[in-house]
Amino acid sequence: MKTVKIASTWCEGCSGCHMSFLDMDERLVELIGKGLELTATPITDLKIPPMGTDIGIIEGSVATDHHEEEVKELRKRCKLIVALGDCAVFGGIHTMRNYFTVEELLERGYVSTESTVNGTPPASPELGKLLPKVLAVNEVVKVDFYIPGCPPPADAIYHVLNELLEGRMPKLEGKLLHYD
Amino acid sequence: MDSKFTITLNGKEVEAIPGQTILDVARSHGVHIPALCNHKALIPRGSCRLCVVEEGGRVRASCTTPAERGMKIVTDSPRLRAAREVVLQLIFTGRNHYCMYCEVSGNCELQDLGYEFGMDHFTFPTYENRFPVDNSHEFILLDHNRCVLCGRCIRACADLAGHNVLTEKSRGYRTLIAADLDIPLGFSSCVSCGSCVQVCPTGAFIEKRSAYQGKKEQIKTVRMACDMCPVGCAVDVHGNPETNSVVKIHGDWDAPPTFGLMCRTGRYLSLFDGHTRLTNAKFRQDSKVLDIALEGALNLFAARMDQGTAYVDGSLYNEELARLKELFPGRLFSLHPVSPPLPSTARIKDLGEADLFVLFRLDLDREYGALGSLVKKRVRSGAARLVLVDGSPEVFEKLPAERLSSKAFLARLDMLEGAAAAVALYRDLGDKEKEALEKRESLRRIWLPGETNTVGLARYGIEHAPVKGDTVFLFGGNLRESDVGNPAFLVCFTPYENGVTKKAAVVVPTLKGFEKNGTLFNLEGELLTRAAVVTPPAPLADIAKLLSPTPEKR
Repeated sequence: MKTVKIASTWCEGCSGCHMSFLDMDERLVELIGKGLELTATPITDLKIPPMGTDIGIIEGSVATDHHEEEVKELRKRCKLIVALGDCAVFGGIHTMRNYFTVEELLERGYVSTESTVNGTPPASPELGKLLPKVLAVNEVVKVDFYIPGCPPPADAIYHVLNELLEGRMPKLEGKLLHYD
Repeated sequence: MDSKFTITLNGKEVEAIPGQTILDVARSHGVHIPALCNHKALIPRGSCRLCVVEEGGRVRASCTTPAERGMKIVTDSPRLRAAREVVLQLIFTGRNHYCMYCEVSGNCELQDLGYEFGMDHFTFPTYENRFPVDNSHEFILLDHNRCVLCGRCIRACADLAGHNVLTEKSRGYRTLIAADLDIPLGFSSCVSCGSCVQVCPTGAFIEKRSAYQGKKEQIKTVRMACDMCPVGCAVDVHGNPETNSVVKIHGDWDAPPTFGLMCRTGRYLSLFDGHTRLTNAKFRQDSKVLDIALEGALNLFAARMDQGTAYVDGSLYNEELARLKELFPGRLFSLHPVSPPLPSTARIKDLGEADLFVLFRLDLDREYGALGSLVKKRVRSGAARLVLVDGSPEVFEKLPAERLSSKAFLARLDMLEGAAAAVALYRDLGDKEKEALEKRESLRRIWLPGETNTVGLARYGIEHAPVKGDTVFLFGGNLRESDVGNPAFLVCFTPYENGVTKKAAVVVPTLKGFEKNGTLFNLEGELLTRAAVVTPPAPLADIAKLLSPTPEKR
């Protein structure tokens, strides 16, 4: 049996899309039976997928230079990129900050918040640097397939993976396509 | 004009009626063309370009192109689909049309189009520009970030409701909806009729107090008549059974008397009336007021019922009046006048053809808002003149009008001569005014009763009489302290706390508006129906079944 290797990552996201992925429940076993193989995902806790991975799934928007690097790396290593969920597809709720500068944002979040005393924005070099704007994944790398939804229903994720496993190009329609 | 003709629609000959646009013809033959700025109650404007069709090799907006004999129309082709998809992408990405936290998600025409076109991502950079949010209005929030510039709100405000408050400012993608000369909506001349909210296809105009109170699939819609004034506009009441609440009220575009027009009172005040609701029966002993059981209060009432006189107001439905007539044969009167100074000789629909309006001491915008719209539209278009007799200066202040005292009007009756379709509107008339109007048959009349079911009171033969006697029973939602003196024993059936309940020996809380079924007569004498949408917050008296044998308690 030919295996289809998938990898996934989450950038600026809440993990809800990965929860929806797990919400496929026993159908995940069915997909594994059909040849699905999980490589590097937050679920397996492996960081870097092998070159030539078939499908790279991205949850979350691109908000920091770390995310940018991560999605570019995934693009390099995967044949198909799937943007999973509203943040990856449209930029999502984080785009609310696009109407402010990064300085204004950090000031509001870490200094002038009503509950904050003597706050300073975090400055550890370990942390990713916020990009001037939150971007949808397709503003950074080429995306081959989109599954919108906040979160996308498990049915939609199952449909897409199942179609890809069976060698067809999936199409989201009806209840499988929604934006909220 | 020609009679019916045929055009070719997707290779099929179909019939068209002169005056129809291509979109009208397609829809009348069940052919779907996507559209956004088009709205059935509004004059087409052709601003969204989603409804484009191919005609003679050209791509044209079907909502603004009149159908012509022999036209060959294609409504769907790869070229059209490509054009529509670009337009849809531009609309989605021009402002913030991210659905997840939008109030109207699930009930949005733009979102529906996204789904129809299978749009699963944006192809243009988005969230580039930040637009203001106008939160100044009491009931309406205007979020420019959700606006698609379809202009429906402007058309509804001007062409439909006659208020001419909304307009556009700036140009291109920076265009904004503005009120008056660009002042916040809450400080503008907006009369809060809410038509803009009802026609908005997206979440640009939302009703603040209805927002996030229930999604479309949670809402049960019941069609009925508004019971806030005797016009009786046809409305769709959107209730949420889960929360037992009325979420919002929209006008019914297809039904008389006002075809979707509404007013602040009907749309908003019927939900947020500011009254204090009574949920407990009360009994006054000396200076103390005790909460008592509903049954106990009804027993107190029943024991004294035969010894007094009953009075009702015009807020009660016919079924309630019928029951009270049974309970108080010959002893039931109306608190307020029930008969017109002069009977009506015109109908509400005649306002749309009038060329002169004479208004006696009325503030239509505030009191009978939907009729205000009908009058304003006519006057503003130049089709009718307006005479305001004894009107206060702020009434219709933006309209050209002759403002006269009653005396000056009576001295200038000759001004009515030139009008072919003059209509007088009044609630009360002085004797001299009455005499002047009565003589002129060409001047048609519409009497605007003071209360919703005043006509019902008259039909049930309940006459107006001042409150008298030692034992008095009052029924209604419009009770005023001035209605009643100081009877020794007063029983008051009402949904709200008011000046009268403070005097009463026994207060019985009753059902109100959206809690009761029933019928009433509007000012035209049309029988209108009301339906219960919510269940009462506590056991309350139903006047229509007062003291009638009730089914055993479960």
